[in-house]
Amino acid sequence: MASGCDARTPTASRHPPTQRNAAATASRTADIVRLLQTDSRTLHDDWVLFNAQQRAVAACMRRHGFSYAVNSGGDEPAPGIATAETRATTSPASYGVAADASAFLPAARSRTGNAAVTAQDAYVRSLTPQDAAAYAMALDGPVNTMAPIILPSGRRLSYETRGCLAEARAEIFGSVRDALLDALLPGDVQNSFFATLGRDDGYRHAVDLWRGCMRRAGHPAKTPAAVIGALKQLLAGGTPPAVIAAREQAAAAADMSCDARSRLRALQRRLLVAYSRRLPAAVRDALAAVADRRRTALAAVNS
Amino acid sequence: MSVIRTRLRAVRRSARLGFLGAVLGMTAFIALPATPASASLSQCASGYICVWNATGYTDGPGSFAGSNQNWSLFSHSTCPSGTWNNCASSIYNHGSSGLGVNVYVDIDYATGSLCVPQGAGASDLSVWQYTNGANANNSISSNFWTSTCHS
Repeated sequence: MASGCDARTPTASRHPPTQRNAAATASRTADIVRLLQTDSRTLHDDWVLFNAQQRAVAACMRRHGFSYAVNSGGDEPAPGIATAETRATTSPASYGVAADASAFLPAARSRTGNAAVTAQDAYVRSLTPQDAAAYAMALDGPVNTMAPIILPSGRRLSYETRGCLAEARAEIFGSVRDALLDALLPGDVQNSFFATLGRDDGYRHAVDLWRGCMRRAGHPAKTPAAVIGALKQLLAGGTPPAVIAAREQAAAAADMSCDARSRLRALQRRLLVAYSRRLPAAVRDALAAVADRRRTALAAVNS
Repeated sequence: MSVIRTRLRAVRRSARLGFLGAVLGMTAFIALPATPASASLSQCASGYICVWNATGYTDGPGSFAGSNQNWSLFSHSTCPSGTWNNCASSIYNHGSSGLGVNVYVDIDYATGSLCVPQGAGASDLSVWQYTNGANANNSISSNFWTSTCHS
């Protein structure tokens, strides 16, 4: 560089080692908290990665001589939508639930209007047993090649390591195991965190305030997650997306107001930051690795 | 692979869901003969989420397509209630669309969920917990497909 500065030398190196360590720890904690807190950006990142995986699976299946109906994963999540853990930052407020409706193609709905079965699953189920077996072999590989994974909570599962799905996961995340960790590890740690919330007096008080406010606003619910769950229930039951959109905007607007009064989500975030600092080093390392891989995957997909 | 489809005996005792619920059940479920001796993941046809009454993918599978808000509509003779409601001890997502499946401790996707990505299975749900901390063994009551459990 013309100025003579070494571009590889980070600015933080001008600070004493203790400050550098503190900055690095804070940055790492921020990465972990962001991974453990679902916000509109998380939903958008999930959508991007899901679609990338769908394209990769479809390309792989084509190479094997099979067709594959790409699932859109719903409409692109709008910035600023509310989640169970973060407030809406745009108006009109929504949770993006109605937008999920396009993940289920109308052609695949049952005659009762149950918006549930994707065109891809309907296609596979229409194949003869022999054709279905060949298709599943290309997509999933043989069932005896599954590998185990154990999460911090003790949850154990097995996952397919061959076939086009595994190939697509490895292409995006570096390995199939890393793809599964991206999908499962944050949720596993979140569950442990959620289990601690009920023991916090301040949190319980904030929830009570939020519930009372929502009840008075005409949208009774136990938690923000329950509001979103009820909307998903309508979606799965075949309620028209336009009806869901209207209901969710009304509920999200009330939620926004009630959250401001109760400061429920702000408190939950503070508790999450404290919780993430107390996690065992091995779990923090694993979460930081997931965050790094996710960042790399998104950069590659978006490039 | 030979998949033997048997006629679903819709359980109609859930009066509040009535005929619509029963029809939904019939469109969303196939019952396969229980063959514990040779039970394995290979019995789960592509395009379904499958569950078994016992750990190790034995005594089943019950094969669910689409999202289903009340598993008491789906019969299985060896389950204590005679239905898959509160009965599954192992699970395998053999969907093909890339979607994960959220399973819930309550009907109507009401509370407590956990996500099983496509191509993943849990042979022992007793070590799984929902988001609300409840144990997942013998407690699944509804399922909902989702793209946010993306991998």
